[in-house]
Amino acid sequence: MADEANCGWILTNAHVVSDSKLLLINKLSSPEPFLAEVVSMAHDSDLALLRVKDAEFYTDMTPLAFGGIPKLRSPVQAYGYPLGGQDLSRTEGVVSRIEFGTYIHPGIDSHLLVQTDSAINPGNSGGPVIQEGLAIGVAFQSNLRLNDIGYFIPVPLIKRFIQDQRDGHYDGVPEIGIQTSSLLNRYQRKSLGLSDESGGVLVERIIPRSSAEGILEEGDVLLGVAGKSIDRAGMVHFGEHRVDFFIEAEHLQVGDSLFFKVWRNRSLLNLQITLKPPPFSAELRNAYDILPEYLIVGGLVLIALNRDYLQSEGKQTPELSYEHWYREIEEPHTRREQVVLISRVLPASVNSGYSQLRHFVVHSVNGNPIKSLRHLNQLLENLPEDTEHLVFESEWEPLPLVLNYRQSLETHQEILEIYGIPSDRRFHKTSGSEG
Amino acid sequence: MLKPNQGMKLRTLFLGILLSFAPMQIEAEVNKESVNFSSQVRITSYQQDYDWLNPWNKKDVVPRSGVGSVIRVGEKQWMLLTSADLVSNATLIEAKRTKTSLPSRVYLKRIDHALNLALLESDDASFFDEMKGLEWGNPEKGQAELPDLSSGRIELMQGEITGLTVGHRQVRDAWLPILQLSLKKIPPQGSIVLQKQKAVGMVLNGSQGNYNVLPKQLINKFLSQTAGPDHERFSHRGFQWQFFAQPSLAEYSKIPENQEGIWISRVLPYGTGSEVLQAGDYLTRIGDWQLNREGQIEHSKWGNVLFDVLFLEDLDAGDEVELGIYRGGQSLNLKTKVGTYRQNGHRVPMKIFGKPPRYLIRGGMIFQELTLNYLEVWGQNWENRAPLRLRLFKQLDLTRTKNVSQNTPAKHPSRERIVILSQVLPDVVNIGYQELRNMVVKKVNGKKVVNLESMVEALQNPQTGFHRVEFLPGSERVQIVLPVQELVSADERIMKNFQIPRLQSL
Repeated sequence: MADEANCGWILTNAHVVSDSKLLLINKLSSPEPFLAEVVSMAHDSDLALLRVKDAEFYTDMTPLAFGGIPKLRSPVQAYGYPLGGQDLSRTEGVVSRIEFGTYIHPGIDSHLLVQTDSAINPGNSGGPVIQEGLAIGVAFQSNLRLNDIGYFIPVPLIKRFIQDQRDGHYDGVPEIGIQTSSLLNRYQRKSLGLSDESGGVLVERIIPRSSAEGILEEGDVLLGVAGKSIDRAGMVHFGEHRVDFFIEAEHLQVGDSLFFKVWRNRSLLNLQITLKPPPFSAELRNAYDILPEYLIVGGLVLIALNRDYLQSEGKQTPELSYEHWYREIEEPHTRREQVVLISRVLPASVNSGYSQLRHFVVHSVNGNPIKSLRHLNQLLENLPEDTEHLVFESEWEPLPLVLNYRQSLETHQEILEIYGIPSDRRFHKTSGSEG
Repeated sequence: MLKPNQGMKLRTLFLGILLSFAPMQIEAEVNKESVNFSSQVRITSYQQDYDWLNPWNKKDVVPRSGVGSVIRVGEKQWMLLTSADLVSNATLIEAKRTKTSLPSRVYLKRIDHALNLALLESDDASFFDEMKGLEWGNPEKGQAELPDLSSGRIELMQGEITGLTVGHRQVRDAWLPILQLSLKKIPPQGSIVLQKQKAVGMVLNGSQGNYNVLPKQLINKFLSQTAGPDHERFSHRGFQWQFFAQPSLAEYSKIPENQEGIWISRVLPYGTGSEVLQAGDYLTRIGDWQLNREGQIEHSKWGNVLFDVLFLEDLDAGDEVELGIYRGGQSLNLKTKVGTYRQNGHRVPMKIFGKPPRYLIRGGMIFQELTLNYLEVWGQNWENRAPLRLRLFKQLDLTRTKNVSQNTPAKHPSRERIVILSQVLPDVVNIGYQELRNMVVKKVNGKKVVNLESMVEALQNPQTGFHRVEFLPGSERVQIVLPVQELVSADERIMKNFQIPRLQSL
């Protein structure tokens, strides 16, 4: 695929090129691989743009043009290389449904996706889905528990991505930042003073620092968005389809406005919100293309808790699950920028007795509450001269973890050498955010 | 995380199988007149557990068999002693004196799940004719015998008591001194262990040749108990501890380099030391016994063992005892009295036995208190399979040490519980809510819900024509409303439709 502005961009999935060390592109017409580079990456919507430097690559290539949202039951063709192979494979099917669903690559984001019964298998990823000669999507995931179910990313999200990154920076799919619930129960509608025929959904939670904060309120009923009515299951008309009303923010950019018709305290309001990127921290999303940040002190390996860590084998302790998933929701006032933990210990005499320790969540060091891994690093760098001990305390542990400070400094280099660790820390220039 | 070292050892010890009758085998001919044989009876019970998912229901009936021993209670009264596992939730318990005699109905008199003991009585005056009560002796290391009734003949199984350890039964916070028995055969439930013709303990559980035996001293405590299980019972420690192996922590806490001892990680609301100890204390001595870094003492009879063993015969409830500790760099001697075990006021209670589930149904919404029994609806592997938020309440109940009110253990068992909407029985009144499951209730009609009683009370005071139920933030839905007026007829309809005998059981 290529962009309509003739930039010679190649569109694929983010998961196809994430964490890549060498990127090669083959043309059907030539045995020679071409060296490619990533122009832009959108992990949140599993899309990436690539470019080949060698102009020869583009000779005899024709860019694809985009179509729109396909009709239900209309035929589509998926192109790709299922399980590898030399020749391009073409499978056919029809559009089965169009709905919101989780994008597996980021893990937490939910966007519009189109379901088809055209075979989409590993190797199809990043390939175009074609209807009447126009590209209507990028094949990207399937469901292993179901037969003949494949999914592709529809055009509005693709166009939004291409537009978003034109300024050289990818802002991400904006998010309204609210939790809503249906108003299918007539008594619930009645209790809100709505008529029996009324549609609308109830705003149950405003996510802190989100687009909606300060404008929408808990208890509001959203009756309409962008001039469309929201029904009591939270759906709006979208072409011939009914999809989740969040669709109205999907094709917009960060900074755009979105208008809501709101029922608040039994009267109607028209409210405008300015869209922001998702309010949740990067730690909640699967991480790619970015090596984890860490800090080593006295043989203790300190990291910031993230989704990847939590989902790796044996790491899902009750304490970490609570810190990652529930603290912010249930005790927002105790939220910190990051959850810092000692993930493991490199055994040395300075940490004798702690070698079996795992997943110690650090809430304070020498009495100072810890906000993030960087913050912890700053604290350690500015400790008073006469500091005798490093005292790590956790809300989950009855006893502190204590190291002799002087000994930790004296043995620091030796520990790194023994365990073959080139650096005692890794911090990226801009912590956490992608793009 | 730091874990007390005993936790690991003991968990593996108590993953025992359920015991059943052993195959026939003759071990030795014994005297039929022996006290210990004329004290043994066969017991069959029919157990019917409660269905914690559909709390108004009971599950299938399961027959279980084991043995009981005749004991004398007071001057003239005779009773049967057996294991709680064998007779809990029983709909019928029968006892037979010989393999071929007719069964006689017996009744549960008293049960203690922490000790796994039960007392049965008979209303048939002749049942105990010519039976003899057990005689008790003190256990020691060495040869032991178990009466075996399985063949119909009188036989003895030969085993050996190899030591004394510390562990718990299904009530996981009651730590008990427990005898270790090496035995080739599989003993039936409720089996008595004999040494020199005297009963010294009862088999609790075990497998593959290694069995755990409740010592005679704890059985005698149970027998002399007159009050119910919620009252004070056997001597127990009043704290949780961590073993010590961190020189840097000792240095920071100004504890002399060679001073052995254990860290007090949490003080319990009951038990020995609960009145005087603080989390972070370093305990070096209990009475005359010095503790090593693994919590062991040198015992004259049992050798190098965990200190809880002292609560078997050395430290009796109410005895004065001195605790040697380090606190804030100071060596202190704290005087206290030996305390006893009490059921703890956990928000998610330890496993409940022999009591029906508590529930409340309104508008098809089933509200229950979160219990271990409910979590076990997801099977023995509930720690991985039950809904995350619910299991975290159980798993974190005693973990968090700061900023959380429930962590300061009440001196008296609290009735604070987690109330959940477990499922919804579909009806026109709850359209839109039918798929809600396992959500934690915070408030009803503006009132904080701390248990089912407080929920019932809040439901009596709706502020409008609608009941408003609010759930924990982050739930699939944060609130629902139910119509006050229409609820009465809806509840009647739901009871009829789903064959529910009662709308609540508290």
